[in-house]
Amino acid sequence: MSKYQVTIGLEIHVETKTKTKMFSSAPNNYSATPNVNVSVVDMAFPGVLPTINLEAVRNAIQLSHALNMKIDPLVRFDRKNYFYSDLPKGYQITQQFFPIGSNGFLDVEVNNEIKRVDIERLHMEEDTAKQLHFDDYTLLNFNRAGVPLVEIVTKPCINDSATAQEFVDKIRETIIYLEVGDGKMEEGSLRCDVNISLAPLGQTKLGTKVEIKNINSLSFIKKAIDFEIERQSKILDDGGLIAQETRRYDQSTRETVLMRTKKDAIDYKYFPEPNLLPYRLKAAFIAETIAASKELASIKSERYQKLGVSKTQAKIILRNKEMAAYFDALLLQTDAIKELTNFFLGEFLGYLNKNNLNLSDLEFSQKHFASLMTLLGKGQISYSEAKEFFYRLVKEDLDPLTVFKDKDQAVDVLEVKNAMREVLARFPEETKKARDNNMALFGFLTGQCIKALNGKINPKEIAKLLKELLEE
Amino acid sequence: MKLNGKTIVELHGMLVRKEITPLDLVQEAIKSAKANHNNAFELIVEKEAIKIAKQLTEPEVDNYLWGIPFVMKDNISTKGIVTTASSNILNVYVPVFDATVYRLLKRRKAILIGKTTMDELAMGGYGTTGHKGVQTNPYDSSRVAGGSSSGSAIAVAARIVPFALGSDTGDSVRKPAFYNGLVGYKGTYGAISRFGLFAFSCSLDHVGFFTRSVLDAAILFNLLAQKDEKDATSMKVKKVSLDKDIKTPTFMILDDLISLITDEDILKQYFASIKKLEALGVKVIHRSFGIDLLSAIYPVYMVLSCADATSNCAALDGIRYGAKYSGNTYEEIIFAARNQGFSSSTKQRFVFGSFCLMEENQEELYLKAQKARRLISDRLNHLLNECDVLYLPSASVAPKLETIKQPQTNEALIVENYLALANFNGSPSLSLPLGAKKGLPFGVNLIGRTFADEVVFKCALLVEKSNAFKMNPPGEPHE
Repeated sequence: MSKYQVTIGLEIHVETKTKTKMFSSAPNNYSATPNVNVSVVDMAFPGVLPTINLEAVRNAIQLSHALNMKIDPLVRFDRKNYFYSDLPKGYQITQQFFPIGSNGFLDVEVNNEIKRVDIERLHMEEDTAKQLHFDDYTLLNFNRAGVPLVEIVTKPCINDSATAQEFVDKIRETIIYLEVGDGKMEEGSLRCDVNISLAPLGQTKLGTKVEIKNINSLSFIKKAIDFEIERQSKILDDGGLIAQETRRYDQSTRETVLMRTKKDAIDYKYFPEPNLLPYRLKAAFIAETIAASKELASIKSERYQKLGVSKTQAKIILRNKEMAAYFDALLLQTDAIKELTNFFLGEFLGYLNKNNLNLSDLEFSQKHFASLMTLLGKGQISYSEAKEFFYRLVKEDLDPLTVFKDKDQAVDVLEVKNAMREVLARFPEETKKARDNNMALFGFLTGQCIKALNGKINPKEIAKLLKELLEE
Repeated sequence: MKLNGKTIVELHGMLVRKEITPLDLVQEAIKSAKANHNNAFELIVEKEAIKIAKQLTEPEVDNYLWGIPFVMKDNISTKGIVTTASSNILNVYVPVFDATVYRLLKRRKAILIGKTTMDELAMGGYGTTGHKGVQTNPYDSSRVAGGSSSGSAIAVAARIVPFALGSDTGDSVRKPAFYNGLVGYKGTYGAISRFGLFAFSCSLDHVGFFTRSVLDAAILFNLLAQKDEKDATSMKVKKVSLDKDIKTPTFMILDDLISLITDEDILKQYFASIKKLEALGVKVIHRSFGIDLLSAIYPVYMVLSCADATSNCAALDGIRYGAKYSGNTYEEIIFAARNQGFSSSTKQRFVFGSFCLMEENQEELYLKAQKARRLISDRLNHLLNECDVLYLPSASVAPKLETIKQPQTNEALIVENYLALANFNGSPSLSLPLGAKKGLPFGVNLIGRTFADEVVFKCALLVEKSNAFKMNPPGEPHE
């Protein structure tokens, strides 16, 4: 498409979930009333000192582990000195020299192809105050000052916008499944900077790097990169040179806009943070932290597949963490996994979507749902019975074991179905035609089944089961 | 004689026996604070101190600090009491929290009389750069008090209070202790919490104090040395016990340093004190530190402390707290605040510190200084393994005010700044009076191994006992 080699690296900032802030005891709850969750440490009053929040360190360890990174047990912090109105101390405490995580990777799937994105580093730092800009004034919300952040930096190893977007989405999913953050790009708890350079195809030296700062939605990542590739290609086509600069994505014009050029680049005057001595994490602490990690979506998917759920089905279930959790809870209560999965993705999700409901809106007992699936799995009820019952369940929360008590004792539908399958196997031609809605042959097959089953089950039921079998 | 010219231990005895009351001490302290002509006070907290003193009626026998008046350097945070670090940028700043050290003293019912003047933000060695002007020596007002804890040193020397808190980043307690005939102590780095101490250079900063006796200093150390969750560099240390004397300790003399000291009177007294110590069974050994390393102390100190200071003081922007300066935009306000709010000498330090941290200079200046600090600390630790303490005198008495701007020789820079050794590696270090020259005090300093605070106190007790020198109050003739 392009005659240029596109090289992209990403820097992703993640606000992590903790009780208190990174270096102070103020609550980490930025969405509360502005400027209430603030301590003297966050406001940089004279004489205050930072202390390390181990919960934030745990989050960083779990995230590093999930991203296949090497974890440095010696936690060290540095100062990044710069002036900005949202930075009360005049410096940010970060991990410039020794990030807690290094040399990891994450595999993403783009157009059915697996692409490995190498991750250079993951480090801990603190967020700044939130600025709210108005026409002639700016308001500052210090609730955000000191909120724990991790920054994930990839190697310049991405070559297209789709992979970049997919990578950020996978990071988002990882954060959500680990429960280390909420990963909401639109709210700024997940933010992305893009570094992009173009070079003539075949050239090994990278082109001049342009940074696009603070992209706040997944789709904007792709749009910003695509715009930038086009913009830079044009300049290069015309024989121009790319200026090293920082830009931002303007969502109204769908363009990247210049923020500052290299000559305005800041010298951050990094040096080790003297108020935080190097902190050695015990091997057992790291191991326990990793062991306590919540299950990742990819691990869940593997587990589901081992149970017989297809990869595509797993993907649909895992699109939403709460949905997966609901599914997991059902898995613990029934062995009828195949029936459960089909019913869950078919009737259950269909019901939610049609009625525009959330899981939290459901009022029936999950146990009843699971029992229903068990009955279906054992073949004690038919699919249509299960379906019919489900709609009663959502309204009345009945216990299927009570309602279908007699069924439980009576016939084994599975056995019946197997017997009927044998009948159908004996009449392949007729079966095929019956499938094409040949009512006469449907009647013929019903008769054959009644004969084969020898009165074990009533004819009406047989007709119903036959219909189901033909639809399989 | 002033009551507050006594030691904490003496006053405690009198309080317990009900010969005096805390109110007597506080009233006397306030009266003499008001009468002080050495510019020692930022603020006297008269009403509050008297109110607290009146509430203290039943002496606590096992609490030495009960009802004892004291002062603190104005860079220690006091809730509800203006704290400026003698800088215009912090004029009218009223902290909303107490420094840990102040909290501990309040809990023991010691009574704060006032906040003392200092070099601006603790950056200075003489007590001349603060926003209240120059502090003078109570023994001779044409001379410096010594800084940066100038006001606190004056307050104890002038018999206003029996003890005072200061801070020590290079020598800011122990040097003015020399000049004011006091005991000045800073413990092992991390022993006493820095929470609430306005940061100058975090890895060198210590809270320290002035007392009239080694025992008083040990009492304060035991109270203030407590692990503090609010200070990540704070450490649990053993309480000091002076019950048992130290047996045949080894004192080390640094010959190359001593050879650079030119004041014959001080040297005479110093060597005499060594004789007395030897008579008590002290083993004295001679070593050289290495002149290259000694020469590096001052430049290394300046590079590292100024680099830290520029970063630590970046928060002082005149927006969130402190004095308000005018401007049309917030940038203009900050510019005005930092331009008018800091003295020129402080700004010089910021410029220098910032220069050392610039990307193109870091390797040559900041990183080199860090390496030199390591080499100096290693050498010091090595020597301290051969002895219990380094035993070294002050190089001079308090200089005349008009001389301090004159350029110093390299030799003078070495002998006037060697106390920073103990800040580099975090060693406990104690200054105590050694003698007087024409009514001007000079002292001697002990530096011990880190976490061996008890050894330093015990050795200092020996010096105090053998030398038996006590400064008379200012204004009273000396032998």
